Amino acid sequence: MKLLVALFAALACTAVATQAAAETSQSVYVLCQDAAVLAVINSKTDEITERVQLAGKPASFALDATAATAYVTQPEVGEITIVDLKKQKVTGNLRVGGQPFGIVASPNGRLYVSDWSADRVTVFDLKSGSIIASIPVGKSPAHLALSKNGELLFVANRESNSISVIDSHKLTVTKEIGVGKAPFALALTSDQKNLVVANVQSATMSIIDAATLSVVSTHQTRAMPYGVAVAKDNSTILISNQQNGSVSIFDARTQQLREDVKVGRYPEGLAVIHDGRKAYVANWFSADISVIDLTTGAEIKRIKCPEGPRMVLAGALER
Amino acid sequence: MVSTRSIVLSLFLIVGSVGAVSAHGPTPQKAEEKITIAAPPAKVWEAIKEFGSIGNWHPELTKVVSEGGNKEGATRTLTLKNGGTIVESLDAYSEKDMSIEYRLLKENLDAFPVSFYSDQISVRPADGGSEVEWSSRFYRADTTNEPPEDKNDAAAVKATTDFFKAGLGGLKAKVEGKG
Repeated sequence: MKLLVALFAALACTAVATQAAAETSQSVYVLCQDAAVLAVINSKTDEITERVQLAGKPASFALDATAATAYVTQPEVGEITIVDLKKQKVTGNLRVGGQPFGIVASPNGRLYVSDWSADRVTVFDLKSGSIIASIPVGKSPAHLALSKNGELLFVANRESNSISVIDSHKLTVTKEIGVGKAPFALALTSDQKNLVVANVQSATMSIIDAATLSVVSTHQTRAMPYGVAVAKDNSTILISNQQNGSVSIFDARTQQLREDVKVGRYPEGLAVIHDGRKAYVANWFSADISVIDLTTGAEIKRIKCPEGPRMVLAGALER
Repeated sequence: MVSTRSIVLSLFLIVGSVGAVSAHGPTPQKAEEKITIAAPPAKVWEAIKEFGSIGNWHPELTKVVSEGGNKEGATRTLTLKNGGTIVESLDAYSEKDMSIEYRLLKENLDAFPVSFYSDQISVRPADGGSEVEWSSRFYRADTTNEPPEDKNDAAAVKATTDFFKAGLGGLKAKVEGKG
């Protein structure tokens, strides 16, 4: 066994990055709004292996803790579509009402859903199948981020230029933090120390200290930053710049810009796979996925996908 | 949907700044129009490259007032044939790529039924002449789940497509010397 490991290590050293990552694969999920498809990419081959057909115009989705289930928001009909990712099919719909947009799943079986037009976050308990709270937040709440321990929920209020912080025990907003203009996407660093917020209209990235809940620094991005992702090893922050057709790669520790990578047209959501080697970017207009090798900063592949890709999440590791 | 009152209120707050008020809905739409022009790309680019010059070639505009030249954040106020005005702001300008990127800064839902857009127009060589490509990512005027017919997705797609087609037709006629 040791010999095998050594052999693999030796092979990995001489091989290019993509081959080194070939020992494991990870499913990367891409939600395509116009085609109403949840596409599954195998990170080993960088090919789409499955296309789960949904209904309507799904906007955003969350994975549960084990990535066995996806919860997809349907703003036009006020529902959440449940997708069994093992069977790769729709198993049901939850009625939440309003215009559900951003969504996260908590470790204790809750769904937090932003309601874009009602300026609220709806808390849905999966065990009882009922709404347990509806919390007023800022205007036009978009994406959400939940701390790993499930204690704090962060809400990007696009039209009030702020982040609402919700205490998940009290189910109330405990703080509202002012950021740049039109915050849309946000992500916690994997060490849970910082919250990274992309402000679409001011073309800035706000870094919030997750303990003191205050903005510690603000950095320039390219035009219309629409997506945020942080590598699991906490080395890198990625921001997709929708109007610029690029992804900015920042050093997560110093928050300095490392490089800009040109991708497809009007990029939105993006995700980094577990080993930190590759990022997948949803190019909304050109309906494809850019695969970026994070060791070289090069776009290594563009995968054609169904129309309207807007959000990407990395799923469970597979061997 | 952001209420009219809050839009008006926000507009007051952002006067003089580059920010935009955008009543985004959850489902963006896209439009793309292309036209070939029998002229070298440099000549076509010359005709469109000034952000404030769109009134010289777009037949649907009666007046254009611009500020800030071709700098990021420059604005142009377009008066449409129906008398309504909208304001756009420049995001990126590239001589090298012969490309301009801009967005809607101040909407006017009755004059142009789109609540927000970000657009790109670019010129490239094609078959001994040029091809101009104009694309938009936009949201319908009424972003609630029950928009009236004149403010739904179809109305927004039609308005944008018609605006691009008329503009590209006008540009072609002007550059080819028939305008």
